[in-house]
Amino acid sequence: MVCALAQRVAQGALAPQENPDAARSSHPANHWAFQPVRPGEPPKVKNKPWPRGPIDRFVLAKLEENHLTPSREADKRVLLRRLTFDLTGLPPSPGEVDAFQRDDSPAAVERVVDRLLASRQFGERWGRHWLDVARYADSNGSDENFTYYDAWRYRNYVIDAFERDKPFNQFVREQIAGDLLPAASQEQRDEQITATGFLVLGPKVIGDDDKEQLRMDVVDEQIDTVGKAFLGLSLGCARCHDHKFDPIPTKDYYALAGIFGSTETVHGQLLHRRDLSGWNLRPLGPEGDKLYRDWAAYDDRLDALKKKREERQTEMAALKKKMETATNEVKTIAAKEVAVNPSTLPPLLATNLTTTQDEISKLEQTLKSLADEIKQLSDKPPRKPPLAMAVSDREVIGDTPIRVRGEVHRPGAMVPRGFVQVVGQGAHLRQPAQQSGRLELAEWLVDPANPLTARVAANRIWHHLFGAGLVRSVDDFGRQGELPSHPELLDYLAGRLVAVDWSFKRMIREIVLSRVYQMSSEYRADTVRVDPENRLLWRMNRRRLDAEALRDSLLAISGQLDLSPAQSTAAHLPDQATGVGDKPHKPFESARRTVYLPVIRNDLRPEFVLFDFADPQTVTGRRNQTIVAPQSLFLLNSQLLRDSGRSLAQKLLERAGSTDAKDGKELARMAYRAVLARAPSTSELRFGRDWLAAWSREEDSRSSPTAALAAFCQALLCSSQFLYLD
Amino acid sequence: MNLNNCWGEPVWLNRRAMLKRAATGFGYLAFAGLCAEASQAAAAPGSLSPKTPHHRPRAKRVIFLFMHGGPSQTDTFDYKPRLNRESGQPCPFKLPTAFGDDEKYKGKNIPPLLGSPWNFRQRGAAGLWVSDLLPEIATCADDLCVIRSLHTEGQAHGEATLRMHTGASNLVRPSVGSWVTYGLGSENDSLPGFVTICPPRAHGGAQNYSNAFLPAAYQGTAIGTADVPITQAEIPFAKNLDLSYRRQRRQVDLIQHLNHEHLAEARRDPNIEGLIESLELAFRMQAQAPGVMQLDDESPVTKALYGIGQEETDDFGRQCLLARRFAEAGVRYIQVSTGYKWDQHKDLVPGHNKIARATDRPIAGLLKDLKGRGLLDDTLVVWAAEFGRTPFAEGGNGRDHNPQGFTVWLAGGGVRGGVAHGETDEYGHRAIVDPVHVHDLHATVLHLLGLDHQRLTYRYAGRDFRLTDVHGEVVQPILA
Repeated sequence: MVCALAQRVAQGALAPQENPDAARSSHPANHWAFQPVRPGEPPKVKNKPWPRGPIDRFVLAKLEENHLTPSREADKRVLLRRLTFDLTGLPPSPGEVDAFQRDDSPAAVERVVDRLLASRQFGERWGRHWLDVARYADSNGSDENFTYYDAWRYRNYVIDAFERDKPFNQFVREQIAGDLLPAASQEQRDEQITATGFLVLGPKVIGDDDKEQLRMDVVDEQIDTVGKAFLGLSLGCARCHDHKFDPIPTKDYYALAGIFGSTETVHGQLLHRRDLSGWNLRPLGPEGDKLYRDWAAYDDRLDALKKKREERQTEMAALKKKMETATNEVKTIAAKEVAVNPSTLPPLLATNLTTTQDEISKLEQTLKSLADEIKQLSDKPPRKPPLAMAVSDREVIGDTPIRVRGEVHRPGAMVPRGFVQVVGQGAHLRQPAQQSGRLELAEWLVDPANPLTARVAANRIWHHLFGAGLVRSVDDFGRQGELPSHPELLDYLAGRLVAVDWSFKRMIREIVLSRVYQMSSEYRADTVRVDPENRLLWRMNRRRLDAEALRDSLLAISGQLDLSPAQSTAAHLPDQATGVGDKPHKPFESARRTVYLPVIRNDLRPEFVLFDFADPQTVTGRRNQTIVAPQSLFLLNSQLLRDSGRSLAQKLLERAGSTDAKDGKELARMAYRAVLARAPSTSELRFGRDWLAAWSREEDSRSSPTAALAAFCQALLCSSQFLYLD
Repeated sequence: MNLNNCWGEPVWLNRRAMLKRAATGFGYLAFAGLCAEASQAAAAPGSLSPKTPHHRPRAKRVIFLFMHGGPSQTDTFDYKPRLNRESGQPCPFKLPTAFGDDEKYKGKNIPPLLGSPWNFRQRGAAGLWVSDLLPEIATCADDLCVIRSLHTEGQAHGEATLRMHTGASNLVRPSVGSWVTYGLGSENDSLPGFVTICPPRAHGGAQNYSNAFLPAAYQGTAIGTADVPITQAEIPFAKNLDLSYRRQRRQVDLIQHLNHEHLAEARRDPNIEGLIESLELAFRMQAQAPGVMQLDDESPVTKALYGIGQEETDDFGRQCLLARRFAEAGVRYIQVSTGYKWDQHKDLVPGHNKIARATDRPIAGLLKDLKGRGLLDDTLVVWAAEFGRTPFAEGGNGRDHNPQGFTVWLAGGGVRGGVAHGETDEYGHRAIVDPVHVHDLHATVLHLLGLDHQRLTYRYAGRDFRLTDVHGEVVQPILA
């Protein structure tokens, strides 16, 4: 709403390394992204002392080619704030700032980086990045917004995976085919099954009356997600026709569709309603299968009884109506005659009365015994095992035909199951697969011969650390996507990722210890003229805190954050997270980190909507960065900000003790340290003191020292100095 | 005139004083004035500034009245004498496949026909047929352009609702309002370009006013929600519960001081500059926007026109009046929703009577008020639901969903009045003459706003998207 101020500097981009038109006009299969990864030697540079490692040499060489120089190193405070937010999504505490400032040893940065990488908070931060890609949500969205009560297991699986640095290739395998992988323990089996939640989490038109259409739409959603998440390709386009821009024929699409069509995702019914399809759930734990079978049998039985009772109740209503009519008739006769006895009633009416009365009594008996049975059953429900949203292979496995123009009910030629022909090698499923082919698909994705998976993953890491990928269209490496600014660096990183056993932590460590990452974000007029978008990486990009970092740090700074992990946070929701006639739910209140808050499709929290949270409808590798007035309204007026200002003020006043409470300078100093991780200058101190004093002079209910300091703290929290990482 | 600003302080002002204070901005009139100013000024930078349409527009804005649940076409605007004659007789036609699969009808006979319990009459100079269910709207018949041949996909509410609002159901697509504000920008800079009053939470919920892949500026702003009285609704976060205007101004000054300090250090940064501007804009909005929500300055006559003050019509009347105020203030796309009240699978008569009574006068009031103010000429009003209802009975005295043929009407902004377009079969079941698909309706709405549905595209994920996908034809005969 209102005058969105454009983000991206519209000053015209620097010409990329290759001419895009030339690159695009050549044969589609020659497109750069489909070529094998070829990590080359880092180039020679003139400024020899500057680079710390290969990354710096790749970047510096390109700067020198363009007669540019890299920016100076960022201040220590700026660097610590950058590192702490980038690696954990949280601000450094004033104590951590002090310790880092004091540590003059050359290994100071490394120590901080290793501390941050080892924290649970790292897993939460980087897990959330993946949840963006996985379009994670705790409800279905779409036409009927049913709650995903069990989605949180996948969410925590992802956080654990990043915390423990699960090799990315294994992470991919488990999400695509975890249920088909061997497992050494029950725990491992459960973990791998949970991972396949990735395939189940998408939005589905579960009320679609054409169930074949629903099934194929879900397959489409899976293909689209897998394509964008791992390959950076929009495969969904090939559902109806050969891809317009990329060399992906419809045949390839249906080769994949055969794999996902052999996979059980849509399953069963919701609320025992035929029109509402459910999704596949798999029990966990040693006796899971048996427990779940028993529970399902119980649930069916209970439902059957309830339906039977409903039917009987309808019958009863009809009988009572009949009885009433008969009784009324008797009354009419009674009004005419002096005495009524059965013998004087018309024979039919008499029979009616007695038989109806009999039937009613009989039905009453049946209803009573039904009620007893229902009560008995529901009093003792069997134990329901923990469930994961997860796929299975279907009972009937096989290839699927092309659908003419994407129309589900117009089958064309059969296509053997397989992969995308233009990418990598061995693009056909080796027959005979007694399974869906997901396992083979997973292996094909992480095969080092597949040039896309490692490139796309390495580029995602870079994107999160710099605010822009080397390929800025992080989910689109196709011919409509952008070209890499540093193709050689991208290949170095992709090769490196494989070489370090697909360890994200080692990759991140190497990047953040580079000089490139540690540069200042300062403005240099001469260089801005040449490269306004910083495509050549002559400085660090200034970035705004995202929705989670904003909320988490507000809670952290004001002393309210609870760092313990959470399990389900959707259990309180009704079957339908948003439904007919339901009033807006109060936002789920919790002091836990934002990654644990429920993500309800079509009912996102206002701070999510306003601060460009990833739209959980689809893969989001790159979030928007908008500046719109409603964000400012939220900062000024929301309870979250007002509470944060107040809590921080109280905290500071307690710490200052009563004697200092009136010393505005001391309070301002503490507020600066808490919010901005720095000490204020002398003039800032004076300004702060005067501002607080002026606030308190004005006499009304808000003139107390706490109110003044609360307003002051909130102002700091609304300022660009807090909202942006320099 | 008594106006309260958002801090609850009364502001006694005459027009002169108000204009003088317009710079700091209080209240609705000043706000409306500013909007007019803004709309004449050269396009400011930013994606919501007014844009040039593709061709001469007939309408500048849309008020979309959403009849959630699905009113019955054969009981409102689609007069079917044969259906009424044969009421109670076996259903003479087959059901479409989707119905046929349905357990409700499987292996059983289709329920008998159900004639309309309401009388139909020809209304106005043009003699348009309208039933007695909607006597007030009937008095506006000469302004209505009734399309009796709409059709869509989706036998269930969710799917059909998403299609009516976004043109798609299995894919997440921007809503009509988002496309319109993307195409035209907004005529004011202190209110959202697209508001939706009391939108439903079910059947797609926020997806029905979402911008999807379009920039965030085109997201619909929800004012209130279905099933909560409109009197409790407000513009989100436009009110500060702690601070007076003066105090908050002082706080904003402090924030701006910090921002400018930061900017001085950074020397140049479009993000910080943007933040500084958007903060000022927000502060101005919060002073001005709440005034639009207050109906105090409306005359008793106007309020009565909308049925405000009468129990049955008060809530929806307020929503409709609010829609007019938003329209007047230059909001581009305004949706009003009835709540999920039209879905009578049984007890058609009491159910339809109730929701018809609640909405009939307010809607007629809106049409008359817009007309009286000269706003109807360039405001397109659309009355539509996700689908209609079957001509055969369900549950004895109700009707099932019917996407195969149903009625919507348009009024104002460039459409012919007193006209009926298209026909369903003799029972009102299936659109057969000049069928109009939902895509066609969308193409027509865009056309009236000066937008070519084939040219209004947005590049996302390597492809150009449009509201009507690869479909849609403008319904030429209804254009004035």
